[in-house]
Amino acid sequence: MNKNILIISAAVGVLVLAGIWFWSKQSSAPSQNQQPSSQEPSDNTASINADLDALDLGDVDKEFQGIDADLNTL
Amino acid sequence: MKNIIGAAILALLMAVSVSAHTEGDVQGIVKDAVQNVRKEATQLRKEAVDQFKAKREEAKVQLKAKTEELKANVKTKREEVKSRIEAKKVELKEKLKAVRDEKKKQIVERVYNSVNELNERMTDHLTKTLNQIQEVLDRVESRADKAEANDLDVASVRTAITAAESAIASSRSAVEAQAGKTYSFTVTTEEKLRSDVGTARQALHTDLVAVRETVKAARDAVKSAAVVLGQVPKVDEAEVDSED
Repeated sequence: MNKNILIISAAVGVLVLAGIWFWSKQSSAPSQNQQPSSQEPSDNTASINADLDALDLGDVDKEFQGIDADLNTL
Repeated sequence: MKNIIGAAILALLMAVSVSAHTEGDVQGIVKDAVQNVRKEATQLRKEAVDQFKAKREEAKVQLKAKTEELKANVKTKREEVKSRIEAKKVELKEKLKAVRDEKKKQIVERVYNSVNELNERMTDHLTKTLNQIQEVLDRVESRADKAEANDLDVASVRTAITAAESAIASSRSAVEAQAGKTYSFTVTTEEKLRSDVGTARQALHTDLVAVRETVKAARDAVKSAAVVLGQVPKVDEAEVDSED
């Protein structure tokens, strides 16, 4: 009887340890679908030209609209 | 007669032996030469890849240093002018005591704040844009490096990159200088408030347009480099395998 309990306890113990090991492996391994966080932008010419065209240099005159409205009330 | 036949057979055997030996040698020499050429080609390729990797690593460090330096310099200039802006604000309040119209006083103070805040906002924006331009130029350089590692001629691209670097450097100086500027009002009389404040407004406008022009020139220089890069045949197909 005691021997049976010992075997069952050992089996349960092994299963628990295996479960812990499996869980820790799962949580530490990065997901396969996960993308690298800092992907370098493409250096092909089309992508370079598109990004240059998309650059926003700002509109100075538009930025002065509020100031000019105030000035006109003086 | 027997001797003659014997000598002939011996000569024939020797000729066959020499011929077989020579053919074997030639095959060996050719095999060695092919192996040497392959080995040299592999070595040259490895050198090109190593050179490319070293160049890119260096470029990454340079890019980070340049963008961080610009941000830091603008931040330093801003810290320097903060106290000056506050001091001038106190001075302005004093000058405005001569103005009776409370509403006008408030407007002048508001415009003073707006003018200096706009300078800060625009220089921040232009700093960010300039750093983006620098990053795009780095990608032009990266593509040129790949092309060069694949034996394509990129001399004209290198010249354009140097010109773009120079334009960015000029613009960086202009943005940094702008970040260190303050705009104060010279209040003379209540009647001249509009023109007094207008003078400072116009000064800021002129300065910001000029700085924006330097950023635009930097962008255009990088665009030119990209155009020259695009003219290199099959430039987009050039790749450097990291496992090479």
